Amino acid sequence: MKRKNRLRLLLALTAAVFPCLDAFASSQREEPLRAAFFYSREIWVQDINIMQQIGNSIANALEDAPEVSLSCYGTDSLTMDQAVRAVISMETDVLFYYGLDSENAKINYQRLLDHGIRLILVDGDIEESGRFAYIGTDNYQSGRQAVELIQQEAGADARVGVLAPDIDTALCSVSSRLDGFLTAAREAGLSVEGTCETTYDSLSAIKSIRKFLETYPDVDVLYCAEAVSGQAAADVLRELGREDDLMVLTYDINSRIQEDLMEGALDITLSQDTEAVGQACADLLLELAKNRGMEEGNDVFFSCIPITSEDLEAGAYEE
Amino acid sequence: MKNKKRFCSLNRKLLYFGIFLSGAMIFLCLMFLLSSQYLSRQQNRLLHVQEAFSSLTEDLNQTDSKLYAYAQSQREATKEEILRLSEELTAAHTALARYLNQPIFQDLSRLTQVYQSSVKKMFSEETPSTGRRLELYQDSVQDLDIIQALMGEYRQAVVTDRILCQERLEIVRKWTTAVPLASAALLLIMSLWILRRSSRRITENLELLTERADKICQWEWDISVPQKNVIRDEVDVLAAAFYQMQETIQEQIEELKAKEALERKLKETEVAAANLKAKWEHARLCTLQSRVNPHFLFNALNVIGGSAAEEGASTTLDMISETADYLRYSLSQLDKEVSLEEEFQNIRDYLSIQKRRFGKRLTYSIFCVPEILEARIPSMILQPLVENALIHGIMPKKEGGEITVEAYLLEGKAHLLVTDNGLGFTEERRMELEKRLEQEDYDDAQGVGLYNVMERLRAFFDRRVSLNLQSDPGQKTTMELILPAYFKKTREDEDEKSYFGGR
Repeated sequence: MKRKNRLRLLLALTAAVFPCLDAFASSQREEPLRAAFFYSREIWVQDINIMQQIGNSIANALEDAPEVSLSCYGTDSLTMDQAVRAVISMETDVLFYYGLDSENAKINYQRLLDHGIRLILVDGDIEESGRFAYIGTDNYQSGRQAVELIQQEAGADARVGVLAPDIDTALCSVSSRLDGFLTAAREAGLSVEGTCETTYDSLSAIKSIRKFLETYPDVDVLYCAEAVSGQAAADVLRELGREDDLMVLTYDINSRIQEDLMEGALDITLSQDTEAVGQACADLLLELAKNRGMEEGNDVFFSCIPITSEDLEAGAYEE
Repeated sequence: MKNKKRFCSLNRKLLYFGIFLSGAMIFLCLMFLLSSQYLSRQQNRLLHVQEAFSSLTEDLNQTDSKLYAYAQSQREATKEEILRLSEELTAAHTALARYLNQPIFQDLSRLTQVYQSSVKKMFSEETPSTGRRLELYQDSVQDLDIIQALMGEYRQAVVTDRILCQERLEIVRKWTTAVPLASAALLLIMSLWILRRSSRRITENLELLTERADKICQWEWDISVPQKNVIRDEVDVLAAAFYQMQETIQEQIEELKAKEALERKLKETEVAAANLKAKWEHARLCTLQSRVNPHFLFNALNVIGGSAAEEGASTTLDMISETADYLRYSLSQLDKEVSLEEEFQNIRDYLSIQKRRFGKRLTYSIFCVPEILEARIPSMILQPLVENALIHGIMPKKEGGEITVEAYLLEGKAHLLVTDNGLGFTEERRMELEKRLEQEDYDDAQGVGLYNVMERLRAFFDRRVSLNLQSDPGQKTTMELILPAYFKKTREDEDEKSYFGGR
C-alpha cells in the first residue's frame, strides 16, 4: 500500500473511531448528582450568614466538578415544608439544610427519607433527622470550649451570665452550644449566675441585657450563645463604661465584632470555619457522586477558632 | 555558492510576503466575522432569555388566575386557554433551561412541570364538583407558591446572567474594535518594516556595486572585496559575480603590468647588449687605430712629403698628400657622422691613390647629385664597398676595369651605388652574401667589411636601410645602398661622441 493511501486510511479510521468513542463516553456518562442548598437570606447580624457562607464555599469548591450539580437558594419566604416539597418536586438527590429540632421538622425529614433524598445538616446537628451526614461546627464542643476559655481568662470562680435568644429555640446550633456550655460549666464548677433570654432583634436584646446586668451586677463574664447577643452586650458595656470590668465571649466574626474586640468591649469570639465546612461538604458530594449507593456519609465536626484582640493585631484573622 | 539553503530568490520572497499579507488579512476578516457572529448570537440569546423569563412569569400568573376562574366556573374556553398557556410555559422553561445552563433552571423546569401536572389534574377528573376543583386548585397553588418563592433567585440569576453577558459583550465589542485596528496597525508596521528591510538590503548591495563601478570607471582598482558567507538572493549573486569579475580583472591587470615590465626590461637588456656590441666594435677599431699609431704615421708622411718637396718630386708629394688625407679621414672620422660630400671626397682620395697603384687597369668615375651632397651618413661607408669592388672585382681581372660611384635622391631616400665591371659573383654567391648579412653575428673573415657597413648603417638609421646586390659576372656588378636622406646633424658634438649607442 502506498504511503499516501495509508495516510488516507488512517484519517478515515480516525474520523470513524472518534465519534464512536465520543458516543460511547456519552452513554457511559451519568447524570450529575443533584444537590440543593436552601438558606435564609435574613441576616440577624451584619455580614454574618453562616449558611450562605457555607453554601458559597461549597459552590466554589464544586466549580470544576461536572459530576455534581448544586442549586443554591437563598430565600426569605420559603418555609421548611415548601423547601422539602420543592426538592421532592425537583427530584433532588441531596438537600443541605439547618438542623431544626421541631415536630414539623421531623415530619419533613421523614418526607425526605421517604423520597430517598439524602439530608446533609450543616448548621446544627440532630441525629433523629435520619440525616445522611452532619458536616459543620461541633456546637456542643464549642460550648465546652467556651468554659475552658472563661476559666483560663477569668478564673474558675468567675460568675457567669448566659445570654441566648429563646432558650428553647428550634435552632439546634444554639441549643447545642448552650447544652455544651452548661454541662461543662457544671462539671467545672463554674458559677452561672443567671440566664438572659435575648431575641434576634438587637434593640430588644440590648434592653434585655441592660436589665440583666441591673439584676446581676456582680457577674464577671458574659457568655453570649450567638453574635446578636454578643454585639448587644458590647453595646451595653460600652454604654455603661464597664468594658474592662466584664469578660464577654461570643460567636462568629464580622467587622463590627473586630472593632469591639479591639476596643475591649468583647474579649473572645469563637469563629466558625465555614470554608472548611464547605470544602468537606463538597468532598462528600463528590464521593457520593462516585458511589450513588452510599447509605451513610461520614460526619465531620469542626472546632471553633478562638479570636482575641491580640490575634487581630497579629493578623491571625483575615476576613 | 556557500550556504545554498539560505538562498531565497526575490520572487519567492515577494510570494512569501504576499502569502503573509493575505493570511493576515484573512485572519483579520475571520476574526471580525466570528466576533460579529458571536455578538449577534449572544444578543439573540439575551433576548430569548428575557423573553422566556417574562413569558414564564406572566404565563404562571395568567395560568393561576385562569385556573382559579376555571375552578369556579368550569368554562371550556378557559380550559382551552389554560392548556395554551401550559404549552407556552413548557416552551418558556425549556428555553430557559437551554439558554441558562445552571442547575437552578433545571430545577425551575422540573418545578414548572410539577405545576403543569397539578394544573392538568383539574381536567383529568370527568365531572369534579366545585369544591373538588377548588381543592385541586389549592394543590396547584402550593406548587406555584414554591416557584414564586424561588422566583427571586431565578430573577437574580437571569439578571446576573444578563449583566455578565453584557459585560462580556462589551469586552468583545471593545476587542472587536480594538483588535482588528491594532492588528491592522501591527500588520502595517510589520509590512513596512519587512519592505524597508528588504529594500535596504537590496539597495545597500546595489549602492555598493554602483560605487564600485564608479571607482572602476575612474580606474581605481585597489578595492577590497567584502567577504560574505551567505548568499540570500539574486542581488547577492550579482554582487558576488561582480566582485569575482573585479578580482579577475585586477589579477589580469597585474599580470599585464608584470608582462609589460618584463618586456621593457628585455628591451633594455637588448639595447644594452647592442650598445655593448657597438662599444666592443668601437674598442676594436680604436685598438686597430692605436696599432697604426696615426701620429707617427702622419709625422712620417709629413717628413716624406717635405723631403719629396725638397727633391722636387711633385708626383710623390701628391701621392703622399692624398694618402695622408685618406688616412686622416679614415682614422679620425671613423666613428663620426659626415656629409655625403665628405664621404665622396674620401672615396675620391682613395680611388686616386688606387689609380696610381693600378694605373690603366683602373678607371673610375664619381657622381653625386648636388641636392644630396649635404645628406648625413656614418663615415667610411662607401670605402668598404669600393674596396670590395676593387679587390674582388677589378684586381683579379688582368685587363682591369671601371668603378663608378654615384648617389642620387629618390622619394626622400638616398641611393648610393657602387658599380664595377669586374668579375662579379654568381647568383648563389649573391644569395649567400645576403643571407650572411641578415645574420646577427658574422664571424666569417670574408665579407666582414660589408657586414660592418650594414651593421653601422642599421644602427644609425634604426634598421631602415637596405642593400641590393646585382651581378652580371664580367659585365656589371652593382651594390646599391638605400638609406633615409637626413640633412641635419644628429650629433652636436661630433668630435667627442659616438653615434653608436642608438639614436
